[in-house]
Amino acid sequence: MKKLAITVSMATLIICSIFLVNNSSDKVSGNKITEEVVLKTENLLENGKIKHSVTKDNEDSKEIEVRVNMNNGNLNKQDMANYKKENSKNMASLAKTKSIIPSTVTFTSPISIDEFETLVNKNQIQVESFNLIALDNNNMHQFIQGVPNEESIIPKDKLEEVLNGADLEGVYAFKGNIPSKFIEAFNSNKSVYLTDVSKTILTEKSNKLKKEDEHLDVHVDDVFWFVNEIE
Amino acid sequence: MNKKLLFLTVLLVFALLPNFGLARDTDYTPGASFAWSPYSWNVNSYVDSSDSSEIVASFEKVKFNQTATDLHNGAYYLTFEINNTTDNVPHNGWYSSNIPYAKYDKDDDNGNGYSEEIEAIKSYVGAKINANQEYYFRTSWFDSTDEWGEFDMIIQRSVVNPLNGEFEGYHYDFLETRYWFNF
Repeated sequence: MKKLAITVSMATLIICSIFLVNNSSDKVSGNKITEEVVLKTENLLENGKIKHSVTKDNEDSKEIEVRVNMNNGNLNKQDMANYKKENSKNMASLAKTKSIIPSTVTFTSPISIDEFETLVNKNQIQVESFNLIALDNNNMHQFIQGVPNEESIIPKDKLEEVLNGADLEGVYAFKGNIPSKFIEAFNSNKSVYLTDVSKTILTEKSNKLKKEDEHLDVHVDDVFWFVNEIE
Repeated sequence: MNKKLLFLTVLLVFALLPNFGLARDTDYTPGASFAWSPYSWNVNSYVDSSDSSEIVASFEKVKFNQTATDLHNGAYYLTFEINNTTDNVPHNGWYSSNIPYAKYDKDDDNGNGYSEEIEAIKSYVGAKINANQEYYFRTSWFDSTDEWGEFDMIIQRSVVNPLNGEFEGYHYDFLETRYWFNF
C-alpha cells in the first residue's frame, strides 16, 4: 500500500511538472506563437471547482483577461447552490453601493423575444449582448450571440439573417447593466436561474494588476449548459 | 532498472506523446495535421453583397471522423478560432455556431480597439461532438475603408489547466488562410 502511494505520488508529480513547464502556455497570435502569462488564480468555491484567473495572452499584450473558470466536468448541484448563495450575498452588498450592476443572466429555460424585451424594459436594463438558441435545418442546436442596435434590443433583420432558416426557440441568457434598485427582485423572478454579479468584484480585484496602458477584459459566462445538462 | 523506475519512465513517455498525454499538438502550416483535426471543411471570408457594411468569415461543413471525435470528447473544449492577422476591422458582436453550448470570445491584445482573435468554444466539456456531423461557426465585422484583410482559420482543443484553473487553447491546428477584398 505504501509503495502504491509513493508510486501514485511520483506519477502525479511528473504530470504536474509537465503542466508547470507549460504554465505559461503557448498562444496563437497572428501567425506567431507566443507565451501566455498567468498573473493570478483564486478559488471562488472552496473545493476549487470554480476559480477565477487573470492572464495575458503574452508578455506584450495590452489586454488582461479575467475569467470565471468552471471545472464543469464535475460541477454538481450543490456546488452551483453554493455559488448562487455566495452570489446573492455579493448582490446584496453591491446593491448598497452601486447604482447599476453589470450582470450575466441565465434563464431557467429559453424565453420568447417578447418576454425578454418586456422583462428588460420593465427593469430598465441596458443590454450589452444576448444569447439565443434555435434548431437548424440539420436538427442541430444553433447558439447565437448578438448585440442591440440603436432601434431595438434584438434587431430582427439581423437575427433573421443569422438564423439562416433555423427555428428560434428563445433567449437563454444575456449580459447587461441592471439597476441596483431592481436587481434582487429581478433575480427572484421565476424565469431567472442566475443573475451573476461577479464582474464588478473581479474587475475591482484585477484592477490592481493592470498597468496604465493595459485594459481588462472580464468574462463571466452564462451557465445555460448547467441548467440544461445538470439541473 | 527496477520496475517502479520503468513504470515512471513509460508514464513520462506517454505523457509527452500527442493524444496520450500532455504534450502539445501545435501546427501553423496549412491543412489538417493531427488525428483530432477535421477531415474536411470549407472556410470563407468575403464582403457581404446583400449588406455591404459587413465582412463575413465562417467555418462551414467541418467534419471529424470517429477517431477525431473520440480524441475531442471527454476532456477537451472544441474551439474554432479566427485569427484576424490584418487587425483592421472592428467586430460587430454577432456569432452563430452549432458547436454544443457554443460560447464566444474576442481578444484585443494590442489595445487598438479591434479584435485580432475571435473564437467559438464548446462551453460544456461533457457535451459530445459527433463523427461526420457538419459543424459551423459564422461571424461578422463592420466594414472599413481598408481594401482587404486576412483571416487565419484554426481548430483548437482547449482545456482547463488543473493546476491554476486557467482555460487555455492547448492544442491547435491551422487549417487555411482566407482573404476579403473591398473593391
